[in-house]
Amino acid sequence: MKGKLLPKLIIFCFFLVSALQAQETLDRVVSVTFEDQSPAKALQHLRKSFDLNIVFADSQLPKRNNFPLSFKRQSIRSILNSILANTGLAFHSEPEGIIITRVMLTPKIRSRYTIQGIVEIGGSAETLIGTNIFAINHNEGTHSNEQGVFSLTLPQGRTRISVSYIGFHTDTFSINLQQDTFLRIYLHRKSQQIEGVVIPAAMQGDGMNIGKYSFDLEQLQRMPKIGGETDLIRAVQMLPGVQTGPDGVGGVFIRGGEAGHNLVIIDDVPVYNFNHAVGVLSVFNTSIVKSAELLKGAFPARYAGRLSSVLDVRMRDGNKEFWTASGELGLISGRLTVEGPIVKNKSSLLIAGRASLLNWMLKPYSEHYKSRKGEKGQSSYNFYDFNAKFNIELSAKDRLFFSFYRGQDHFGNTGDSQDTLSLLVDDRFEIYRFRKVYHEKLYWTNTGSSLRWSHILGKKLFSNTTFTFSELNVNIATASSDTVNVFSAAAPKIHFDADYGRYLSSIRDFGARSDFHWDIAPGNKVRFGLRVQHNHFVPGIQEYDDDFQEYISPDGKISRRVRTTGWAFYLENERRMLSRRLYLNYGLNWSGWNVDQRNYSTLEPRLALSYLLSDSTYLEASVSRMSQFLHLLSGTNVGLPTDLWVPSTGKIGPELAWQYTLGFRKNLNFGWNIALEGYYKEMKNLVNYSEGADFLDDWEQNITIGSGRAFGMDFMLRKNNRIIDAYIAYSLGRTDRVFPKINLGERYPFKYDHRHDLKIWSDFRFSSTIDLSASWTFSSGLATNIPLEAFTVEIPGVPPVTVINYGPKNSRRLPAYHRFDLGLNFHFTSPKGTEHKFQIGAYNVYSRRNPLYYQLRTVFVAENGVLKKDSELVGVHLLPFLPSINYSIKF
Amino acid sequence: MIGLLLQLFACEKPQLPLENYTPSLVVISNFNTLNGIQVQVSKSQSPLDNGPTEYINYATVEIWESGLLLEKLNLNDTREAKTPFYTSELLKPRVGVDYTVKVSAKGFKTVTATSRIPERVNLDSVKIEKLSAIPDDPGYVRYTFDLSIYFTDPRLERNFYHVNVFQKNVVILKDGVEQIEQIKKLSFSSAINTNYIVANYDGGFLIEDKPIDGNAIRIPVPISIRMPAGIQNLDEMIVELRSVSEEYYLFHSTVSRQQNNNDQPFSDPVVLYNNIRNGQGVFAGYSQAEKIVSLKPQ
Repeated sequence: MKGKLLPKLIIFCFFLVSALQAQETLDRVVSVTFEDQSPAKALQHLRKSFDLNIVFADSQLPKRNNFPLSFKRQSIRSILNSILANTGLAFHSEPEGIIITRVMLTPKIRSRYTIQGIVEIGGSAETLIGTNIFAINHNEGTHSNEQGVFSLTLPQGRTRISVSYIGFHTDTFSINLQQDTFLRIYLHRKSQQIEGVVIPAAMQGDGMNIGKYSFDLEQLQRMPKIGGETDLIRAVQMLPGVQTGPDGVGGVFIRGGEAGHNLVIIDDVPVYNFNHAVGVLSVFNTSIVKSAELLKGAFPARYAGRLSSVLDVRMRDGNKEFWTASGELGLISGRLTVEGPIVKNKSSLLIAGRASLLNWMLKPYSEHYKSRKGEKGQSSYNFYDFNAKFNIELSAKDRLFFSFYRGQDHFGNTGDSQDTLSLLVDDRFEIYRFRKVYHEKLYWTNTGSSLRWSHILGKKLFSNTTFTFSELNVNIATASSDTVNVFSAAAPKIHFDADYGRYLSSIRDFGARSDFHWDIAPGNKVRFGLRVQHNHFVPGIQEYDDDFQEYISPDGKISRRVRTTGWAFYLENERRMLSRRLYLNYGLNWSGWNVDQRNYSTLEPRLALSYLLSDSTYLEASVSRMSQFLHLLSGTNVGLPTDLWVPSTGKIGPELAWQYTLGFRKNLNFGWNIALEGYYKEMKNLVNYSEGADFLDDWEQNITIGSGRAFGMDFMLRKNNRIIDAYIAYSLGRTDRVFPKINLGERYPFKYDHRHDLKIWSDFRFSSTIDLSASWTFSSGLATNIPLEAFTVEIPGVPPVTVINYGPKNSRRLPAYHRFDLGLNFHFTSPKGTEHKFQIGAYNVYSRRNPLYYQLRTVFVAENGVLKKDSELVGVHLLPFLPSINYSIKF
Repeated sequence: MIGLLLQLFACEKPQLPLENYTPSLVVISNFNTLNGIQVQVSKSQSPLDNGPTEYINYATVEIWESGLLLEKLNLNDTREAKTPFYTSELLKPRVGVDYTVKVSAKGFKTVTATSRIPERVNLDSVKIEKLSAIPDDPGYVRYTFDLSIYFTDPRLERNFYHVNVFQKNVVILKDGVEQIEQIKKLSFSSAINTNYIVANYDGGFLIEDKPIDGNAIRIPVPISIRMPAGIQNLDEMIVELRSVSEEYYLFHSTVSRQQNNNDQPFSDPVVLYNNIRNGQGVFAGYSQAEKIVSLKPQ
């Protein structure tokens, strides 16, 4: 017995030792790096490197699989799990080695289930757009859409999910996935003191990020402000590739495009004039902005209607958990926001208002200025914005949102002056008493609203149906009178002349759209939809009554009313391929326009790709074709509200552009990021006023159709850690235009052809309550014209006239623009939870006199008792050093 | 960083060079088949200089054709005329011939320019249409009508026109018997401006034929005249159709647009056309046709 038992015991021990050795082998902790994601090569590498006997058949293995290329101090078991994940293969240890075999699945059991969910902010239940949801051990991920909703299909079983969003604590949790699941995830904002502020956000991470910038309210509020006013458009102007005129005047020009080439939407409603105070400020009340994203290239197919950029602004929904209020007071405006639940966690209401406080300063100053000229009167300027948003959760699958905006600017100017002159007429003195009275009003109003129904059609399919309304009205009214009373020995006489003028223009836009978002599988999303819009243009109505009334057409109109109908279909596919190394977004937008019994349609293909070259280096490229059927005509060079939106008509086709981009970005060590992107843009059918025409002319008879091109590169270097957040943005660019009726048909530099554009911004966090924000902006001078010489044109029998030679159009440059801004922020929370923020700062700290334009002015001066005419070229400057102070409180 | 900033500043060359201004010759001449060639020569000025125009009366002004000197122009008698002109005495310009003006004066670069007189386009007719008369101030009647100008634009050619309208009327003096005749050139507001029609600064309007090429054209000119009710000597409307060279059209249309645009500080300036090499101004030919129509009140 003993003799038989011993051999059996030896054999048993042998097998036991072998099995233990095999188990030991699987638990062995190693570090390894693979060349690529070929499972066969990886297994061979393991076999060779660690002397393992791994048994497998090449034919069973896929050519590629998603697994990390590098493992540090991990068990062989863990490494094998990663290599064989989702391959249908499993391994087990045998005495002779590690055997890899195919797993036989029970046919009735599903292998994959879908997690559907919504991501909201903890404490307010506000939805979060663009949140990253990532299944760590499956290396699969997605992000929440514009409604905060996401869908992710994963293999059955336990998995760890990570949910992250910039400025918020990352939430990581485990889930045992045995069925389709709905999750409501709450993310909590990091305290401001440790928040890694990023302006702009979204340079890190995968996906197409070059040419795309996201903003966050907290981030915006830290930037230096004009008069304490936080402003979204000024933050946009701090980005590379975004140009503007001095102090923001003139509009926003992106990569050589025109001011009217930017699609600005708030909750899907187009905003036709987003400027207050000729562009120094914008209409966006940042207290209610949830998110803002700027796209200046690589446009997804769902966006259409403008050539150069998309600024997609989303309003906050309002706090669904409790009522709260906040207020802010600065030198320029005051604002108040109230929000809270109508039915807790079901519906909420947000109301916000902002009103300017400029008149307390402007009225007395203008009164004083006019009185020095011997005139009674004053100038005034004010603006207001009103926003409201209501949302209700009708069911688990249905939500309804209603948002409304109205804003108005109002400029007024009055004057009343008198003068008396005594003249010797026919040996008698006659007394002439002159009186001039004038009253001018200019106001423009933006109104917009949207009603959106968000519906979850299935576990992977979402829809949004939106109705929109947008309107811009511009009104100008002038009245003036001149009276001359003549007191003489003969009968006294009165001469009276009165002028009255009124100018109106408007654009009204009704729209409806349905958008569908289909998460087919991880790394494979489809968006499709359609849009219809009806526009009504009143491009310029003038009523005028003065001595020249014979020149005004009998009906008082200078342009005809035009009604148009536009439509668009789009289909867009977002793919992650080659083990998530390649991100691809391609699609097609088909847009049409019906006007004057003529139909136009354009096909706009879009392609954007991003390829992960190494651990953190991305190569990105895109091609986009864009079109627009609306054209912004500017009769001035400072972007006044008299700029006119006009449609494509029977004679004017759509403006078209192709844009090509190529760039790379890399996340470096110690929080540094670098991005560089080159672009080339060709624009056709551009519409502009013919030289010498303006908004008082019939626009259809005074426009010229031309083309433009722009090329250059945008560069950004950013550093972001707990103490400092800073970036340097530099753009090198060139853009020009050619129009038959401008510059005698010769090509000329575009006014906003800034060759160099440099922006440096930083935020230093000294402590938990204090941070210092500073920015410096430099850009090459605007292309302009100045009078070069004057001469007289005199033809026999014709009175002479003096004309000015300005040289070819935009052949001169204004001096370079530069400015330094500073803001010191204090923020603290009282024991009762009330948040206080206080900012003091300065705009244009060293008071650089940046000229807006140069003007030839003639003044009369007395020299040795003789009145002499004197001319000088005067630079007109806008904003000097401006201190700012701002206080905000949130209950 | 500092190096980068320095480099950027070094790249920046604001160009506002008004201090060291160098004047050039200004040559102005519109010539036709009837009057020979008249050339005015002056000196351009800095835009900051408000002094009077300096005419050049010591210039050498020559007219050349195909490399041959045709005539050296003489300065007119400046004792009576305020403005000096150089005029041809022998030369009668012909249609379709390229003439070159060459002007030299001490202290200036020699300037040249070439132009020709285009073929004349005749007026087909001039008519008074839609005439209506309504009582105005006591003793006066207001006549409103369209002065319709008919002509045919030659096909497949670039043509440019300058239409002038003159009103020849009789003014009755205080005694009610004495009358004087006067001719007034009509000026048009810039409200009529389009891409192809420009109100000329000195009266009339300029036309480019691009949208009307080869067509029979009717141009209605709305006119409103107040006349004494009992007047027997009726107004005459004189229409002059100038067929102008492209140089003429471009120069006068840009001057007109600029004159109209002068008072608007925010507007981009209008770029002037110039065909004077090394100088400023215009040397341009035109031919002309004329018709007269009488206003016959009902």
